Amino acid sequence: MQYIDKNKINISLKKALKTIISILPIFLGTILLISLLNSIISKEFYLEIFQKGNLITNSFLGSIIGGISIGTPVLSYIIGGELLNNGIHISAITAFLVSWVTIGVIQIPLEASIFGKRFTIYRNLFAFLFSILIGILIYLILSIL
Amino acid sequence: MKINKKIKPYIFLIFVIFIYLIFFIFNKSIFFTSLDFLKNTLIKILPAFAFVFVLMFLSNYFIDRKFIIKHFENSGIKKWIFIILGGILSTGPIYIWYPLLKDLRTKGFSNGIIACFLYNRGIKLPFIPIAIYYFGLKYIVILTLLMIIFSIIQGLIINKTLKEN
Repeated sequence: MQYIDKNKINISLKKALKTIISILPIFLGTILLISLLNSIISKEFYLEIFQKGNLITNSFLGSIIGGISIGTPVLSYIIGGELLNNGIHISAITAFLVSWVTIGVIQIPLEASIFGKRFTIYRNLFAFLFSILIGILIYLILSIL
Repeated sequence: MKINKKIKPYIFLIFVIFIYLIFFIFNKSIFFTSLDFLKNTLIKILPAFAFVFVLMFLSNYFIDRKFIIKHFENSGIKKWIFIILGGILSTGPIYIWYPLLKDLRTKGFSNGIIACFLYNRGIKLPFIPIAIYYFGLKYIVILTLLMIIFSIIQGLIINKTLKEN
């Protein structure tokens, strides 16, 4: 088994473990908070926020919430999944998931200092618009398939 | 006041536990309903998390910075394909890739290619099992394909817009 690099295995395992451990406190905190909110806030509340609007406004709202949210993408899946269980429209959830990972509000100053203001504004602006578009498209595709 | 980096992630957790304590004192019903929901969520998520760990290990073992840089050297469509794959497969926080991307830009990489790489970082392969658990395989496949398509569109638009400006 000369092709297996034991040192690299150790480093890779440690790195994976370190990543998991590093997200664990936030991960646990988020699930705890979601569990609490789930007990306090009724499904009707979420439905009132999202389903009053149409496909575009739902996606727009999802995109804004996802865009200003920060944290590991796992959290977005958990929050998005619970919102879906609460009956929130798939277009809003998709826009939320996509903008969470493609818009980096907190990294804007750093991104702008490295790649320039114009690049950063355009990139984040298009990421915002595309998350709305993807939200709408995924709803349309899923309704056909 | 500077907060220790190691303590920072725990502040949120401690804050939430504190809220739970308040509910334990004033409203036990909500406290126990929440714990029940938490228990059910953890039971459902933990197997997927084990799989996430295995995927993280595999991507750490097989894909490193050298691997990605080596494949970035291709040209034309091949370059776009490797940029997309590089974005999807790259691990760690986004800002650790900024210096490399800046360096690549000075070596002739366009703004669009860099934007495409950054967009594809939104596709997190190791976390896919959890995403599938919540949204199903069909949804995740469609979402991933749409994100790849839009990463290219974004790259092309940024190339055009920044050039014209």
